[in-house]
Amino acid sequence: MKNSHLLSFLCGALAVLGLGMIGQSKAESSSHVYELRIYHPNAGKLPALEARFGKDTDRIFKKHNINALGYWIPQDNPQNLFIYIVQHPSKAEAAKNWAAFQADPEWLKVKAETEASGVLTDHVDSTYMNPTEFSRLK
Amino acid sequence: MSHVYELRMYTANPGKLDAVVARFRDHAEAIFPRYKLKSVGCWIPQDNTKNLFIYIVEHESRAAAEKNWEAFRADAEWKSVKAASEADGPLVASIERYFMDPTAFSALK
Repeated sequence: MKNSHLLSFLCGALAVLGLGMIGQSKAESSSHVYELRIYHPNAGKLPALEARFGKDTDRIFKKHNINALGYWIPQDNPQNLFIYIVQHPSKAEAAKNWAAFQADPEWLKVKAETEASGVLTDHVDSTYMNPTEFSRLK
Repeated sequence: MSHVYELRMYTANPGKLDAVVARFRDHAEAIFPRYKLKSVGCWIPQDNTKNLFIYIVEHESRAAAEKNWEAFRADAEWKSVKAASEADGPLVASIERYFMDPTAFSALK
């Protein structure tokens, strides 16, 4: 009795371990990591922030493999938000690319010029997300 | 003309996130196309302290979105799925949603 209980426990534990490993290797090999970024601009700065993304930021992002799927502005925007989603090969790549972007001399120049009369963004909510297995974007 | 995108962020009730995702996968995704509801992507945060399920739907217009959601909510199959899945209580505590216009330089239009 005891032995059979132990055996079934071990089989169950191995099955759980095996499934866990399958899930992990699948997630690592196939899909991207997505980053939802919700910007809260300072008062009155949303138009300047949007203009900077259109004129410079998006272009400099691309130099560092930061690929935005889309940029949006809410229709009813009492919170004054600017929203976009970036696709990364992995979270490690994301950290590397963001660091390279932040150190880019062209970006530093653009940022200094556009913020001469004040910083554009109060804060950013960044959420790293995994696509579900049924997501169209992988 | 560009589309309207709807960002939907669901806060699942404690212990219900898997059920929210399963219902979406097994039912909502199948019923959405009947009402021209096109999900662009579905995601789960990596550090999910808020217990969120996030997705984006693409609509032809804001008016079409309202009409299509209304038709979806009235769908007999969806009503039956929703009732069956919530026998022990609602799966979703709250929904944060934003109807959004793509910017001129957005890759998704």
